[in-house]
Amino acid sequence: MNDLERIDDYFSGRLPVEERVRFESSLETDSALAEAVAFYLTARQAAQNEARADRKARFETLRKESGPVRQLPARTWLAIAASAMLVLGLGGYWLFQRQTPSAAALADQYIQQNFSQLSTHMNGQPDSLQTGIARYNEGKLQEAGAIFNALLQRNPADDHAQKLAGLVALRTGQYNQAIDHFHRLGERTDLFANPGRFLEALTRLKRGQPDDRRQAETLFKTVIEQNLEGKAEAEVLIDKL
Amino acid sequence: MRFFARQPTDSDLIAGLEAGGVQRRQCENRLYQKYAYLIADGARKHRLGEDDCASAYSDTVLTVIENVLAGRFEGRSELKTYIYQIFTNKCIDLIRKKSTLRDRVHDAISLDDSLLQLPDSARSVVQQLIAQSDVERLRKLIGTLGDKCREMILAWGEGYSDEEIARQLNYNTASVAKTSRLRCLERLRDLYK
Repeated sequence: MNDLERIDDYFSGRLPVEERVRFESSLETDSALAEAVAFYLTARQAAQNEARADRKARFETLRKESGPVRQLPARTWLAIAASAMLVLGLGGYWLFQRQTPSAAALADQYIQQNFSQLSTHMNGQPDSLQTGIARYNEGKLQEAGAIFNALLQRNPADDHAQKLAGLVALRTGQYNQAIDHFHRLGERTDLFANPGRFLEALTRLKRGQPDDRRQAETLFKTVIEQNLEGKAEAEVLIDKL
Repeated sequence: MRFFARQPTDSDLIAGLEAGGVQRRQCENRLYQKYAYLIADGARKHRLGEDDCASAYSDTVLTVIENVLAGRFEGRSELKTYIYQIFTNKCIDLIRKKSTLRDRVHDAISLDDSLLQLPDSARSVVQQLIAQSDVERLRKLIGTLGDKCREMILAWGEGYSDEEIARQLNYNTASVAKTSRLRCLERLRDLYK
Protein backbone atom coordinates (compact mmCIF):
# COMPACT_ATOMS: atom_id res chain seq x y z
CA MET A 1 0.00 0.00 0.00
CA ASN A 2 1.57 3.31 -1.05
CA ASP A 3 1.23 6.48 0.98
CA LEU A 4 -1.60 7.99 -1.13
CA GLU A 5 -3.72 4.87 -0.77
CA ARG A 6 -3.13 4.85 2.97
CA ILE A 7 -4.08 8.54 3.20
CA ASP A 8 -7.15 7.93 1.04
CA ASP A 9 -8.26 5.08 3.27
CA TYR A 10 -7.71 7.22 6.34
CA PHE A 11 -9.89 10.11 5.13
CA SER A 12 -12.51 7.70 3.76
CA GLY A 13 -12.76 5.99 7.15
CA ARG A 14 -11.59 2.65 5.70
CA LEU A 15 -8.45 2.33 7.81
CA PRO A 16 -8.74 -0.06 10.77
CA VAL A 17 -8.51 1.59 14.20
CA GLU A 18 -4.95 0.34 14.97
CA GLU A 19 -3.74 1.56 11.58
CA ARG A 20 -5.45 4.91 12.18
CA VAL A 21 -3.62 5.46 15.45
CA ARG A 22 -0.29 4.50 13.86
CA PHE A 23 -0.98 6.81 10.91
CA GLU A 24 -1.78 9.80 13.17
CA SER A 25 1.34 9.35 15.29
CA SER A 26 3.52 8.95 12.16
CA LEU A 27 2.23 12.28 10.88
CA GLU A 28 3.91 14.15 13.73
CA THR A 29 7.33 12.68 12.97
CA ASP A 30 7.24 11.70 9.30
CA SER A 31 7.52 14.92 7.26
CA ALA A 32 7.16 13.05 3.93
CA LEU A 33 3.82 11.63 5.10
CA ALA A 34 2.71 15.07 6.34
CA GLU A 35 3.60 16.52 2.95
CA ALA A 36 1.68 13.75 1.19
CA VAL A 37 -1.39 14.46 3.36
CA ALA A 38 -1.08 18.18 2.57
CA PHE A 39 -0.86 17.34 -1.13
CA TYR A 40 -3.83 14.95 -0.91
CA LEU A 41 -6.05 17.54 0.79
CA THR A 42 -4.91 20.38 -1.47
CA ALA A 43 -5.47 18.23 -4.57
CA ARG A 44 -8.95 17.41 -3.35
CA GLN A 45 -9.63 21.11 -2.82
CA ALA A 46 -8.30 21.84 -6.32
CA ALA A 47 -10.52 19.05 -7.71
CA GLN A 48 -13.51 20.48 -5.83
CA ASN A 49 -12.79 23.96 -7.21
CA GLU A 50 -12.38 22.60 -10.73
CA ALA A 51 -15.53 20.49 -10.48
CA ARG A 52 -17.38 23.48 -9.13
CA ALA A 53 -16.17 25.60 -12.05
CA ASP A 54 -17.29 22.84 -14.44
CA ARG A 55 -20.74 22.71 -12.90
CA LYS A 56 -21.02 26.48 -12.93
CA ALA A 57 -20.23 26.38 -16.64
CA ARG A 58 -22.91 23.69 -17.05
CA PHE A 59 -25.43 25.88 -15.21
CA GLU A 60 -24.44 28.86 -17.33
CA THR A 61 -25.12 26.82 -20.46
CA LEU A 62 -28.52 25.87 -19.03
CA ARG A 63 -29.27 29.52 -18.30
CA LYS A 64 -28.39 30.57 -21.83
CA GLU A 65 -30.41 27.73 -23.34
CA SER A 66 -33.46 28.53 -21.22
CA GLY A 67 -33.31 32.27 -21.81
CA PRO A 68 -34.15 34.77 -19.09
CA VAL A 69 -36.37 33.29 -16.40
CA ARG A 70 -38.53 35.63 -14.43
CA GLN A 71 -41.13 34.94 -11.84
CA LEU A 72 -44.06 37.19 -12.50
CA PRO A 73 -44.90 39.39 -9.54
CA ALA A 74 -48.44 39.33 -8.16
CA ARG A 75 -49.33 42.65 -9.78
CA THR A 76 -48.30 41.26 -13.18
CA TRP A 77 -50.60 38.28 -12.65
CA LEU A 78 -53.37 40.72 -11.76
CA ALA A 79 -52.66 42.69 -14.93
CA ILE A 80 -52.78 39.47 -16.99
CA ALA A 81 -56.07 38.46 -15.36
CA ALA A 82 -57.51 41.94 -15.97
CA SER A 83 -56.37 41.84 -19.61
CA ALA A 84 -57.94 38.40 -20.05
CA MET A 85 -61.20 39.71 -18.61
CA LEU A 86 -61.04 42.69 -20.94
CA VAL A 87 -60.40 40.46 -23.95
CA LEU A 88 -63.28 38.18 -22.93
CA GLY A 89 -65.50 41.20 -22.37
CA LEU A 90 -64.63 42.73 -25.72
CA GLY A 91 -65.03 39.33 -27.37
CA GLY A 92 -68.45 38.94 -25.80
CA TYR A 93 -69.42 42.46 -26.83
CA TRP A 94 -68.17 41.79 -30.34
CA LEU A 95 -70.20 38.60 -30.52
CA PHE A 96 -73.20 40.48 -29.19
CA GLN A 97 -72.68 43.18 -31.76
CA ARG A 98 -72.35 40.55 -34.45
CA GLN A 99 -75.64 39.01 -33.37
CA THR A 100 -77.52 42.30 -33.15
CA PRO A 101 -77.64 42.94 -36.92
CA SER A 102 -78.98 39.44 -37.48
CA ALA A 103 -81.76 40.16 -34.94
CA ALA A 104 -82.46 43.42 -36.78
CA ALA A 105 -82.34 41.58 -40.09
CA LEU A 106 -84.81 39.07 -38.70
CA ALA A 107 -87.16 41.89 -37.71
CA ASP A 108 -86.63 43.54 -41.09
CA GLN A 109 -87.50 40.37 -42.91
CA TYR A 110 -90.67 39.97 -40.90
CA ILE A 111 -91.68 43.61 -41.41
CA GLN A 112 -91.06 43.36 -45.17
CA GLN A 113 -93.10 40.19 -45.44
CA ASN A 114 -96.02 41.29 -43.31
CA PHE A 115 -96.24 45.06 -43.25
CA SER A 116 -95.31 46.20 -46.75
CA GLN A 117 -98.91 46.03 -47.74
CA LEU A 118 -101.92 46.24 -45.47
CA SER A 119 -105.35 44.87 -46.08
CA THR A 120 -107.67 47.62 -47.21
CA HIS A 121 -110.54 45.97 -45.46
CA MET A 122 -109.14 45.58 -42.07
CA ASN A 123 -112.44 46.55 -40.54
CA GLY A 124 -115.48 48.68 -41.08
CA GLN A 125 -113.95 51.90 -39.82
CA PRO A 126 -114.67 55.30 -41.38
CA ASP A 127 -113.16 56.16 -44.71
CA SER A 128 -110.22 58.17 -43.44
CA LEU A 129 -108.69 54.99 -42.01
CA GLN A 130 -109.03 53.23 -45.35
CA THR A 131 -107.57 56.30 -47.05
CA GLY A 132 -104.62 56.16 -44.73
CA ILE A 133 -104.15 52.46 -45.50
CA ALA A 134 -104.30 53.21 -49.20
CA ARG A 135 -101.60 55.87 -48.85
CA TYR A 136 -99.57 53.39 -46.82
CA ASN A 137 -99.85 50.77 -49.54
CA GLU A 138 -98.84 53.35 -52.13
CA GLY A 139 -95.70 53.99 -50.14
CA LYS A 140 -96.84 57.46 -49.14
CA LEU A 141 -95.98 56.82 -45.54
CA GLN A 142 -95.82 60.46 -44.39
CA GLU A 143 -99.36 61.10 -45.63
CA ALA A 144 -100.59 57.85 -44.13
CA GLY A 145 -98.95 58.76 -40.80
CA ALA A 146 -100.64 62.20 -40.78
CA ILE A 147 -104.04 60.58 -41.33
CA PHE A 148 -103.57 57.96 -38.58
CA ASN A 149 -102.26 60.53 -36.10
CA ALA A 150 -105.20 62.83 -36.86
CA LEU A 151 -107.55 59.92 -36.20
CA LEU A 152 -105.78 59.23 -32.92
CA GLN A 153 -106.09 62.82 -31.86
CA ARG A 154 -109.77 62.67 -32.47
CA ASN A 155 -110.14 59.35 -30.70
CA PRO A 156 -107.14 58.32 -28.53
CA ALA A 157 -108.83 55.00 -27.79
CA ASP A 158 -108.78 53.98 -31.47
CA ASP A 159 -106.64 50.86 -31.31
CA HIS A 160 -106.54 50.45 -35.11
CA ALA A 161 -105.28 53.99 -35.63
CA GLN A 162 -102.73 53.43 -32.87
CA LYS A 163 -101.44 50.25 -34.48
CA LEU A 164 -101.28 51.85 -37.94
CA ALA A 165 -99.56 55.01 -36.64
CA GLY A 166 -97.02 52.69 -34.97
CA LEU A 167 -96.45 50.78 -38.20
CA VAL A 168 -95.86 54.00 -40.15
CA ALA A 169 -93.35 55.10 -37.49
CA LEU A 170 -91.67 51.68 -37.71
CA ARG A 171 -91.44 51.76 -41.50
CA THR A 172 -90.05 55.31 -41.47
CA GLY A 173 -87.39 54.49 -38.89
CA GLN A 174 -88.95 56.47 -36.03
CA TYR A 175 -88.49 53.59 -33.66
CA ASN A 176 -88.98 55.49 -30.39
CA GLN A 177 -92.32 56.78 -31.63
CA ALA A 178 -93.28 53.30 -32.87
CA ILE A 179 -92.38 51.74 -29.52
CA ASP A 180 -94.48 54.40 -27.76
CA HIS A 181 -97.53 53.56 -29.92
CA PHE A 182 -97.13 49.81 -29.54
CA HIS A 183 -96.45 50.07 -25.82
CA ARG A 184 -99.65 52.07 -25.26
CA LEU A 185 -101.50 49.52 -27.32
CA GLY A 186 -99.97 46.63 -25.41
CA GLU A 187 -101.12 48.16 -22.10
CA ARG A 188 -104.72 47.95 -23.20
CA THR A 189 -106.71 45.17 -21.55
CA ASP A 190 -110.06 45.83 -23.23
CA LEU A 191 -109.18 44.43 -26.64
CA PHE A 192 -110.14 41.04 -27.96
CA ALA A 193 -106.91 40.82 -29.97
CA ASN A 194 -103.92 42.94 -28.99
CA PRO A 195 -100.79 42.87 -31.17
CA GLY A 196 -99.14 45.68 -29.10
CA ARG A 197 -96.53 43.63 -27.22
CA PHE A 198 -95.58 41.58 -30.27
CA LEU A 199 -95.10 44.72 -32.39
CA GLU A 200 -93.13 46.45 -29.62
CA ALA A 201 -90.82 43.43 -29.46
CA LEU A 202 -90.37 43.50 -33.22
CA THR A 203 -89.58 47.23 -33.16
CA ARG A 204 -87.02 46.76 -30.38
CA LEU A 205 -85.30 44.06 -32.43
CA LYS A 206 -85.15 46.47 -35.32
CA ARG A 207 -83.91 49.40 -33.18
CA GLY A 208 -81.11 47.24 -31.65
CA GLN A 209 -80.19 49.41 -28.66
CA PRO A 210 -78.16 47.64 -25.90
CA ASP A 211 -81.10 46.37 -23.83
CA ASP A 212 -83.57 46.00 -26.73
CA ARG A 213 -82.77 42.38 -27.52
CA ARG A 214 -83.35 41.28 -23.92
CA GLN A 215 -86.59 43.29 -23.70
CA ALA A 216 -87.77 41.90 -27.04
CA GLU A 217 -87.21 38.36 -25.78
CA THR A 218 -89.16 39.14 -22.60
CA LEU A 219 -92.03 40.58 -24.66
CA PHE A 220 -92.08 37.58 -27.01
CA LYS A 221 -92.23 35.27 -23.96
CA THR A 222 -95.13 37.30 -22.57
CA VAL A 223 -96.94 37.04 -25.91
CA ILE A 224 -96.41 33.26 -25.91
CA GLU A 225 -97.34 32.75 -22.24
CA GLN A 226 -100.44 34.97 -22.41
CA ASN A 227 -101.46 33.66 -25.82
CA LEU A 228 -101.58 37.19 -27.25
CA GLU A 229 -101.81 38.10 -30.92
CA GLY A 230 -98.59 37.16 -32.72
CA LYS A 231 -97.95 34.08 -30.54
CA ALA A 232 -97.12 31.78 -33.48
CA GLU A 233 -94.76 34.35 -34.99
CA ALA A 234 -93.20 35.06 -31.58
CA GLU A 235 -92.41 31.34 -31.17
CA VAL A 236 -90.66 31.29 -34.53
CA LEU A 237 -88.73 34.51 -33.94
CA ILE A 238 -87.62 33.65 -30.39
CA ASP A 239 -86.21 30.38 -31.70
CA LYS A 240 -84.13 32.23 -34.25
CA LEU A 241 -82.72 34.70 -31.72
CA MET B 1 -44.74 24.73 -23.05
CA ARG B 2 -42.19 25.82 -20.45
CA PHE B 3 -44.59 28.30 -18.86
CA PHE B 4 -46.82 25.48 -17.67
CA ALA B 5 -44.10 22.83 -17.29
CA ARG B 6 -44.39 20.81 -14.08
CA GLN B 7 -41.63 21.58 -11.60
CA PRO B 8 -40.21 18.76 -9.47
CA THR B 9 -41.02 18.95 -5.78
CA ASP B 10 -38.26 19.76 -3.30
CA SER B 11 -38.42 16.28 -1.79
CA ASP B 12 -38.03 14.74 -5.29
CA LEU B 13 -34.97 16.90 -5.87
CA ILE B 14 -33.39 16.02 -2.55
CA ALA B 15 -34.04 12.31 -3.06
CA GLY B 16 -32.52 12.55 -6.56
CA LEU B 17 -29.40 14.31 -5.27
CA GLU B 18 -28.95 11.70 -2.57
CA ALA B 19 -29.45 8.88 -5.06
CA GLY B 20 -26.16 9.86 -6.74
CA GLY B 21 -24.94 8.93 -10.22
CA VAL B 22 -26.74 10.18 -13.31
CA GLN B 23 -29.86 10.98 -11.30
CA ARG B 24 -27.87 13.36 -9.12
CA ARG B 25 -26.58 15.23 -12.16
CA GLN B 26 -30.10 15.57 -13.59
CA CYS B 27 -31.44 16.78 -10.26
CA GLU B 28 -28.64 19.35 -10.00
CA ASN B 29 -29.77 20.80 -13.32
CA ARG B 30 -33.43 20.72 -12.37
CA LEU B 31 -32.72 22.36 -9.02
CA TYR B 32 -30.80 25.09 -10.84
CA GLN B 33 -33.67 25.65 -13.28
CA LYS B 34 -36.42 25.56 -10.67
CA TYR B 35 -35.26 28.66 -8.84
CA ALA B 36 -33.40 30.39 -11.71
CA TYR B 37 -35.90 33.26 -11.54
CA LEU B 38 -33.95 34.41 -8.46
CA ILE B 39 -31.22 35.66 -10.84
CA ALA B 40 -33.43 38.38 -12.29
CA ASP B 41 -34.92 38.98 -8.85
CA GLY B 42 -31.44 39.45 -7.32
CA ALA B 43 -30.28 41.70 -10.16
CA ARG B 44 -33.28 43.96 -9.57
CA LYS B 45 -33.14 43.99 -5.76
CA HIS B 46 -29.38 44.31 -5.35
CA ARG B 47 -28.71 46.37 -8.48
CA LEU B 48 -26.18 43.82 -9.70
CA GLY B 49 -25.45 42.71 -13.24
CA GLU B 50 -27.39 39.66 -14.40
CA ASP B 51 -24.15 37.74 -15.07
CA ASP B 52 -22.86 38.48 -11.55
CA CYS B 53 -26.16 37.33 -10.10
CA ALA B 54 -26.10 34.19 -12.26
CA SER B 55 -22.66 33.38 -10.87
CA ALA B 56 -23.86 33.97 -7.30
CA TYR B 57 -26.89 31.81 -8.00
CA SER B 58 -24.73 28.97 -9.40
CA ASP B 59 -22.58 29.16 -6.26
CA THR B 60 -25.74 29.08 -4.17
CA VAL B 61 -27.03 25.95 -5.89
CA LEU B 62 -23.65 24.25 -5.53
CA THR B 63 -23.50 25.12 -1.82
CA VAL B 64 -27.03 23.83 -1.34
CA ILE B 65 -26.14 20.58 -3.14
CA GLU B 66 -23.04 20.17 -0.95
CA ASN B 67 -25.07 20.85 2.20
CA VAL B 68 -27.80 18.41 1.17
CA LEU B 69 -25.23 15.68 0.45
CA ALA B 70 -23.38 16.35 3.70
CA GLY B 71 -26.67 16.17 5.63
CA ARG B 72 -26.38 19.82 6.69
CA PHE B 73 -29.79 20.70 5.24
CA GLU B 74 -32.21 19.46 7.87
CA GLY B 75 -35.40 20.41 6.10
CA ARG B 76 -36.49 22.85 8.83
CA SER B 77 -37.32 25.40 6.18
CA GLU B 78 -38.50 25.00 2.60
CA LEU B 79 -35.71 24.48 0.09
CA LYS B 80 -36.82 27.72 -1.60
CA THR B 81 -36.34 29.70 1.64
CA TYR B 82 -32.98 28.03 2.24
CA ILE B 83 -31.78 28.84 -1.30
CA TYR B 84 -33.11 32.38 -1.06
CA GLN B 85 -31.19 33.03 2.18
CA ILE B 86 -27.91 31.66 0.83
CA PHE B 87 -28.40 33.50 -2.46
CA THR B 88 -29.07 36.80 -0.66
CA ASN B 89 -25.86 36.33 1.36
CA LYS B 90 -23.91 35.58 -1.83
CA CYS B 91 -25.29 38.73 -3.46
CA ILE B 92 -24.31 40.81 -0.42
CA ASP B 93 -20.83 39.21 -0.52
CA LEU B 94 -20.66 40.20 -4.17
CA ILE B 95 -21.56 43.82 -3.40
CA ARG B 96 -18.87 43.87 -0.67
CA LYS B 97 -16.39 42.30 -3.03
CA LYS B 98 -17.10 44.98 -5.61
CA SER B 99 -16.78 47.79 -3.06
CA THR B 100 -13.67 46.47 -1.27
CA LEU B 101 -12.01 44.73 -4.23
CA ARG B 102 -11.74 41.58 -2.14
CA ASP B 103 -11.37 38.67 -4.50
CA ARG B 104 -12.72 35.16 -4.48
CA VAL B 105 -15.23 35.81 -1.73
CA HIS B 106 -17.54 32.99 -2.68
CA ASP B 107 -15.00 30.63 -4.22
CA ALA B 108 -13.36 29.59 -0.98
CA ILE B 109 -13.97 26.04 0.10
CA SER B 110 -13.14 25.08 3.62
CA LEU B 111 -10.82 22.19 4.37
CA ASP B 112 -11.99 22.16 7.96
CA ASP B 113 -14.10 19.03 7.68
CA SER B 114 -11.17 16.91 6.49
CA LEU B 115 -8.66 18.51 8.80
CA LEU B 116 -10.91 17.97 11.77
CA GLN B 117 -10.37 14.25 11.42
CA LEU B 118 -6.73 14.72 12.37
CA PRO B 119 -5.57 14.98 15.98
CA ASP B 120 -4.60 18.53 17.07
CA SER B 121 -0.83 18.08 16.92
CA ALA B 122 -0.86 16.52 13.41
CA ARG B 123 -3.43 19.03 12.18
CA SER B 124 -1.23 22.07 12.81
CA VAL B 125 1.67 20.48 10.90
CA VAL B 126 -0.56 19.68 7.89
CA GLN B 127 -2.24 23.09 8.05
CA GLN B 128 1.11 24.84 7.74
CA LEU B 129 2.02 22.73 4.73
CA ILE B 130 -1.36 23.39 3.08
CA ALA B 131 -0.88 27.13 3.59
CA GLN B 132 2.25 26.87 1.42
CA SER B 133 0.45 24.90 -1.33
CA ASP B 134 -0.66 26.39 -4.63
CA VAL B 135 -4.24 25.30 -5.23
CA GLU B 136 -4.57 27.25 -8.45
CA ARG B 137 -1.51 25.57 -9.96
CA LEU B 138 -2.93 22.19 -9.02
CA ARG B 139 -6.22 23.12 -10.70
CA LYS B 140 -4.41 23.93 -13.89
CA LEU B 141 -2.42 20.70 -13.71
CA ILE B 142 -5.63 18.67 -13.35
CA GLY B 143 -6.51 19.97 -16.80
CA THR B 144 -3.35 18.45 -18.25
CA LEU B 145 -4.02 14.92 -16.97
CA GLY B 146 -6.11 13.85 -19.95
CA ASP B 147 -9.89 13.50 -20.14
CA LYS B 148 -10.31 10.21 -18.32
CA CYS B 149 -8.06 11.15 -15.40
CA ARG B 150 -9.51 14.65 -15.17
CA GLU B 151 -13.04 13.29 -15.10
CA MET B 152 -12.11 10.82 -12.41
CA ILE B 153 -10.35 13.38 -10.23
CA LEU B 154 -13.24 15.82 -10.59
CA ALA B 155 -15.79 13.14 -9.68
CA TRP B 156 -13.70 12.42 -6.57
CA GLY B 157 -13.65 16.18 -5.84
CA GLU B 158 -17.44 16.27 -6.15
CA GLY B 159 -17.67 13.52 -3.55
CA TYR B 160 -18.72 10.61 -5.77
CA SER B 161 -17.86 7.22 -4.29
CA ASP B 162 -15.64 4.73 -6.15
CA GLU B 163 -18.76 2.65 -6.88
CA GLU B 164 -20.39 5.65 -8.58
CA ILE B 165 -17.19 6.54 -10.44
CA ALA B 166 -16.95 2.92 -11.66
CA ARG B 167 -20.54 3.08 -12.97
CA GLN B 168 -20.12 6.48 -14.63
CA LEU B 169 -16.77 5.74 -16.24
CA ASN B 170 -17.37 2.08 -17.07
CA TYR B 171 -14.90 0.37 -14.75
CA ASN B 172 -15.61 -3.20 -13.83
CA THR B 173 -15.44 -2.71 -10.09
CA ALA B 174 -15.09 0.04 -7.50
CA SER B 175 -11.70 -1.37 -6.61
CA VAL B 176 -10.45 -0.93 -10.18
CA ALA B 177 -11.81 2.62 -10.20
CA LYS B 178 -10.04 3.34 -6.93
CA THR B 179 -6.70 2.03 -8.23
CA SER B 180 -7.05 4.13 -11.39
CA ARG B 181 -8.01 7.22 -9.38
CA LEU B 182 -4.99 6.88 -7.10
CA ARG B 183 -2.76 6.43 -10.15
CA CYS B 184 -4.12 9.68 -11.57
CA LEU B 185 -3.48 11.35 -8.23
CA GLU B 186 0.06 10.01 -8.28
CA ARG B 187 0.57 11.47 -11.75
CA LEU B 188 -0.74 14.80 -10.51
CA ARG B 189 1.71 14.74 -7.63
CA ASP B 190 4.58 14.04 -10.02
CA LEU B 191 3.54 17.01 -12.15
CA TYR B 192 3.20 19.21 -9.08
CA LYS B 193 6.67 18.42 -7.67
